Amino acid sequence: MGVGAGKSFLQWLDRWKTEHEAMLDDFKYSLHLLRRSPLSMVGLILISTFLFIAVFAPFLTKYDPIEQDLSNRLQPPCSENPFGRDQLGRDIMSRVIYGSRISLRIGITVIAIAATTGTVLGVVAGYLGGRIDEIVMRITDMFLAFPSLILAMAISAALGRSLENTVVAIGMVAWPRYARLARGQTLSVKEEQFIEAVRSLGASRKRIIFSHVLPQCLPPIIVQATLNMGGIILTAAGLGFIGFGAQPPIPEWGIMISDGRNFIMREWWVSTFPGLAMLFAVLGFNLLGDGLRDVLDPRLR
Amino acid sequence: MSDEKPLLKIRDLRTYFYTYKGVVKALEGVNLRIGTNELLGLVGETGCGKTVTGLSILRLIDPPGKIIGGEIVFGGEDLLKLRENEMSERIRGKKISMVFQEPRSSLNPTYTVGSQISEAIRLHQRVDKREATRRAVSILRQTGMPDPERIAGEYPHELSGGMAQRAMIAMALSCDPELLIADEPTSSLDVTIEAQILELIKDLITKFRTSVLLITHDLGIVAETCDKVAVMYAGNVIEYGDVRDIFKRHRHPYTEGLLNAVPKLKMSGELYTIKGTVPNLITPPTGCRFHPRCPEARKECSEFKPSDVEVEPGHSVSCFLYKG
Repeated sequence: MGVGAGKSFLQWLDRWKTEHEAMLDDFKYSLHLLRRSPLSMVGLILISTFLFIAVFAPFLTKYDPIEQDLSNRLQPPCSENPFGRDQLGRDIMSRVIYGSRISLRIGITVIAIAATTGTVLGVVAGYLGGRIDEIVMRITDMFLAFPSLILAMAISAALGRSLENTVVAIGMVAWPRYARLARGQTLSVKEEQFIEAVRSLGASRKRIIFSHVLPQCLPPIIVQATLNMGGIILTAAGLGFIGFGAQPPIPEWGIMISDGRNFIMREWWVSTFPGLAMLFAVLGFNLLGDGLRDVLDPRLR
Repeated sequence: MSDEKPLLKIRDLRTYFYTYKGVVKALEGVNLRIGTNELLGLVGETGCGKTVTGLSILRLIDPPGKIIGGEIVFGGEDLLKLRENEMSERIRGKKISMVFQEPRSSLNPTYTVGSQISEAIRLHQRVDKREATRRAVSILRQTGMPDPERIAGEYPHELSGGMAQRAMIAMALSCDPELLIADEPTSSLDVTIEAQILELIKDLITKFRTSVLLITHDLGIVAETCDKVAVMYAGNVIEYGDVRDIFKRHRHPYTEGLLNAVPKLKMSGELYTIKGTVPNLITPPTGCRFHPRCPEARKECSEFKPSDVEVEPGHSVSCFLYKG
């Protein structure tokens, strides 16, 4: 029976492949283009490493990231603790490794919230136009008028300092960009002849918005999301650094850098390693985002 | 002749566009009727309101445009009185559908042709995906598409213009509409394909028993395919009648000019042109909109708007030269 199921799965896969041939070809071509640009490959490698570390964190270190060992506090890097130990004797390498999970979680949830709300609001506003458009766009203007870190601080302080509220705060700051981007894209897609054609066939507004306009807006949104990921990780770390974000003992990179401030002259490793981890993660997302922009922009093909 | 109840009757339709330069009076009292199983040609120069008429019937006029008044009676009900969702659920695509000028840009580039046709089917008929796909392929076959199964799986950019137009026609006819509005369906195609597409439209309307409003600026197409002709000028239908009446016994000076402007093989001297230019519709001429260019204009032409006069049964003209 298992063989039969496997066979029918293979048949299904074959059919799927032939049905979606054009899409697959397009995808392959995109990969090919991406592969030609060395910088985006560097980005891709950095991000893959980052994801790998985040997913397999427990297998990569034998230390508990929050277990203290006061007898070994501020121990410099050695073979046992390659990144050294911090002021409470915690292993910095395992904290950096587990910290990647925190950053990734913040990044993904923020993007999921901000990109979805922003895109949907932007597309709806752009397509319907008129008063709804005016209202949504003025709200985004209000959000964009504040420096984003300050606004995130204010929201996070008002909601209470925790990891979840950091996500909410950054999400509320990040959505207006997506709304604007999606609206701009919608305004141009809306004028396309095929939108008029599906209207003439009797498609409802909801249907036009979600199955004809929205998919056309996705490529720039994906690029924006990738580029934004780095910024979000930085903002989250910034909030952690000044004490408005995640709270100790969570191994969050911003908090770790902040912890090392008092020892930076003599015990440099406490701040340096989480800082480097952040540098590579953010750099990776920015490089990959740039590469994706070149690949997904049909004018540059 | 005209005692038989028409499928579509447009009376005094007015559509304006509120632009920053002023109000463009694109349609100013259009009267039109299309009988069941009839092919009506709507001809006129660029910008005379042919397309706006087509879009107005489906109520697809977007702001800054607006249908100001008149009546569009289709199958006994006034379309202008329906709510927007009634239009999309009951009329658009189901009873009246439209084929546009540029077939390839009328198809969504991100979906396959087959999935777009089955989407159109599923908008109005309760069938599952598989059945819709089957019907999509069968309707593609009826439009004379070679290898419809393969075409259904292709994307619009993989089709030629003629094939894409066949696909559009298939989509428009997928729910068996009573009226098909074809807005210059062949003007972006080359001549041989044009002939095929027109032949196809003629074929299908007998097969599907559909009426057609064929919008075109090509009088040759009209002479060859249409039963009735309506000639438009600056937002008005100025002459309406049987195709033979219009070509042989036309009455309106504008129709006369239009027909004379068609190049012929045995021709001496220069090609005829109607003097003057198409009027600006923000400040249209008073009275008859054609009077500044009309060789037979009189005093009353600039003062009053002529009304439709039936010169023969089924042949009406709006011009002061003909009175009752």
